[in-house]
Amino acid sequence: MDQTETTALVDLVRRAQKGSEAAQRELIVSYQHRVAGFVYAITNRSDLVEDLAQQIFIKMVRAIDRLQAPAQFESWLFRLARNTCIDHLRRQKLRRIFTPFAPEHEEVAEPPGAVDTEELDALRHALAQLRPQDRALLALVQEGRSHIEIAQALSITVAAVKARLHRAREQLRQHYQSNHES
Amino acid sequence: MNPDQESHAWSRLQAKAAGRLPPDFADRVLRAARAGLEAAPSILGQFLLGAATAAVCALVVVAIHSHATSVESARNLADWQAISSSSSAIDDN
Repeated sequence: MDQTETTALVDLVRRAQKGSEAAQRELIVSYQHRVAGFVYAITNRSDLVEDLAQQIFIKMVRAIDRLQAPAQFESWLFRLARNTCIDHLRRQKLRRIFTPFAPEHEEVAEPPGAVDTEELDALRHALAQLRPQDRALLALVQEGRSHIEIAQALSITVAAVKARLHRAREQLRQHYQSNHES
Repeated sequence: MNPDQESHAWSRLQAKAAGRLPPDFADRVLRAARAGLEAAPSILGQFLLGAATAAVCALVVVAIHSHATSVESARNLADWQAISSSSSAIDDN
């Protein structure tokens, strides 16, 4: 993001913080596809994308006036998105303790006609083998977040981010290749 | 998996996820956020509700205590009057 884009984003965020619905709408439209992809990467379920993306943007609208550094908006939004997805997965795990449903019973089949490309299918299956935290880490990197930003978001050191990222990438690569070859 | 393949697969993933959002997604979010804000009580409203609840509870406690005290006093007075009339009868004899 260059200087002009950053200035425009800061201006947009400031207007949204003052309650401008047009600015809030513009922010949602600008980020909805990226947030949707991020949610899909972490949850690995396309049927959750709309609900979770909606929750994330509602939280954004309600909390944006408390964001102190508008220049950090992207980093803040994806931290919010990550926490919302991880919380959802934790609640889902907890719910399974009290309900007789097995994980596969909660899976919703992809709509008919939704044929994935071989690449996407392999990536989805590879991501499914990783822990949600590692999927979130890879998705944050895909979103262009720096190691420092990720370390701040996860309250861990930059060295720990690098180590976890290296491990997650290795695992993703192994699972991707085994899916791609089979 | 080379970086190009990976990047391409991630783009596909994002495109597929983006396809799950309805065209009026932003408007729906804003409507839901507005509805939530209107439904959520304000801090002052919550404080007033809490204060009113506490006041009602205090009034109920005072009323119950006052009723119990007056019933107890009436019973004591009746007992005392009975003792008094008994002792008067003994004195008269």
